[in-house]
Amino acid sequence: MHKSDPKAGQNFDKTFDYDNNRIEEAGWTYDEDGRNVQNLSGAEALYRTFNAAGRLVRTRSDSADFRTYYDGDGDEIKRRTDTLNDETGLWDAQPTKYYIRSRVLGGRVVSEVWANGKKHRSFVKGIGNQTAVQSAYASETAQLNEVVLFEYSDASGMSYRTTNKLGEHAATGDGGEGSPIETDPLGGNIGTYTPFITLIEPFDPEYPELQTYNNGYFPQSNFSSLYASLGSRIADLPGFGTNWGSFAELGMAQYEERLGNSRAGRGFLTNEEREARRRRTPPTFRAPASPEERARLRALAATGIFDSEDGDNDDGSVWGAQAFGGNMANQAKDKLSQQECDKKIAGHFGGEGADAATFLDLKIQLGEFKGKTEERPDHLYKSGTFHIYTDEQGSADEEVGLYVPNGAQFVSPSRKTAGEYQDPINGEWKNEFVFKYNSGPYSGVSLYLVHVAGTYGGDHGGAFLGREFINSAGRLIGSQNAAKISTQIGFIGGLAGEGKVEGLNRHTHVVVKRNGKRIDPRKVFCGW
Amino acid sequence: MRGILSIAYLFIIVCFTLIIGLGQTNKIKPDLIPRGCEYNNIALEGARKKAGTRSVIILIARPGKKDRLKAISERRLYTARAYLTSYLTLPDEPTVVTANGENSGGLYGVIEIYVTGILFDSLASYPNYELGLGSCDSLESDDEDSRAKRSLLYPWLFRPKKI
Repeated sequence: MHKSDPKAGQNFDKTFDYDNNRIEEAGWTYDEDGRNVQNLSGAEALYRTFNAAGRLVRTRSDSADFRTYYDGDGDEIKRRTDTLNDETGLWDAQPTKYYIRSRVLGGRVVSEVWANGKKHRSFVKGIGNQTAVQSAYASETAQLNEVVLFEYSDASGMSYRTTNKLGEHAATGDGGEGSPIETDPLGGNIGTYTPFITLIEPFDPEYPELQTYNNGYFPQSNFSSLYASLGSRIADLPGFGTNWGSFAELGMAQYEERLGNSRAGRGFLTNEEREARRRRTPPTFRAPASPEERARLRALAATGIFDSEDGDNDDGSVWGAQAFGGNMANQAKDKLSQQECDKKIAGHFGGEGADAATFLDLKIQLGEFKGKTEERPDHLYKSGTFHIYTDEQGSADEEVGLYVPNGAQFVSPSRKTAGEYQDPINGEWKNEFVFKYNSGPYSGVSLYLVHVAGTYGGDHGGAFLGREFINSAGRLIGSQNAAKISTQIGFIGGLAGEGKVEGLNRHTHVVVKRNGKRIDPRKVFCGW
Repeated sequence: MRGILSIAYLFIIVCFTLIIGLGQTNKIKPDLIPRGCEYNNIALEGARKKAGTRSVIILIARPGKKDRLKAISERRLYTARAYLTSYLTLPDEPTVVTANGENSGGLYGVIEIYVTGILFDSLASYPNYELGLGSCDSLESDDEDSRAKRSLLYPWLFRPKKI
């Protein structure tokens, strides 16, 4: 699929290579029966787990985790949902739902209840079809909030709408309970609005250079014309005047007709009505950038790191679009660029001159690739890992401090020789020290620092952190870095990371985990 | 016809390289030592980059003098191949040909990497140990996903749940 909409300031190219009916892209994998078990959308992966019977039992992303349980007949009887709390970084368990089914009605769900037995929803059946839904509770603990939705569907089953007991629209948005559904010919819900349009920070004539931040497609237009574009229905958008728009319009028209609100012409709302509706529900734009943020963005635009033509980085990287999220316009306001992120991490974990790599490993010194920038996603961010080097060359003779951001607590190793150990797989001697955060901005984060220098003890001198960095009670007593944001725990490039081997530079690598799961370091430190 | 010619051409290249490779025992550096998991990763990634999508990567395994386990050489070979074809998630999958060679003549077992028929690098392993590839971190730092990735390679290949 290839679509773009310069008018709306969006570039939503989606191009996939298919082989044997499967998407042949990095991050897309299938099980032996051809079921998709992993896919990648932008920088976020979605994992699916199937049971032996081939039923989907778990769907997991970086922000949500759904588990489904089945009875012996293969009917869903329980659903558990966990969502990631962005503020705390912890997984919040949502109320577990149980489904009560009726054998008389062929196993259909007649009621949903919470774990404590409270009724959530009951379904009212007509002749063969469901005609209404009674929602008894908004959540497990909320006050009684009883709502009845009446459901409508056309004969083909392609359009679905709901009303309340007064015959008014029960829901107009997409995604919530009672939301309108429009299906494509294959039965997939395509919604009633384009999924590709997201809200964009309005153009600020005072800072025209910020245009590059919006991927180069942002027109030099005023706010109102952009606003009109954002408010358009899918049928009004370029490229959607055919099947997609037609289905949506047809469904809405039929629905309005049933409610007695039939309108002439293609649109059932006049322009005045649309405008009035917009005024009632203004969109929520991001907060305007602060002066500091604007200055940072201006500097960013001036660096030319981002290709304003394709949203990719300018080195021709095949990974660029993925690493940079593809479209800068969709990034969070405080999200750092790849380059900025590496600099920030270097400043937090390394002494003066240190360099860091989360994606583009600058330090490969191997044969003809010597000195070249190499993309190493599997070894770095995809493994929840980054490298910290002594300097841009990873010089072996440089002794540069290794730091951890303030607030870290040392976790005593469980090994007999403390931090030093022999890798059971390849016999290599290494050391590793673990720190964790129980509060503050990195609460829930654990850091595993491998190849730490400045250590002593053990068979290879890598067993314990230096006495100038930690006391006998396990409290970090090392010096603060220049910015007073990190505490020294040793030096970069310890056991097996000394850089004495040709092709391998002096470095320490750090595994980042949050709540027990490895996580892209850029998500923890750079707002990704 | 064109397909048959391509296969024949590939076969000739492979045979030619194997002949050269198997006869190169004496050319292995006597001071070749294991350079660690991270170096191994870099070397194979470099080979893959150099080979691109058109060239064949040939891996030849040679057991070391003190490798007591018969299968260890084949396991290293499998791991190197799996790393190139399964572990890395770059878009293009290279063509990899593997073969067992004669003894390395040294203490350490060796995996030789040939790209375009030329020796690109040699990766040494400690006696009776696997070839260090993939995750170079401790098992304690693993999570569900990294354990699953480890299970693509030896020694976890057939026992991913026991990690």
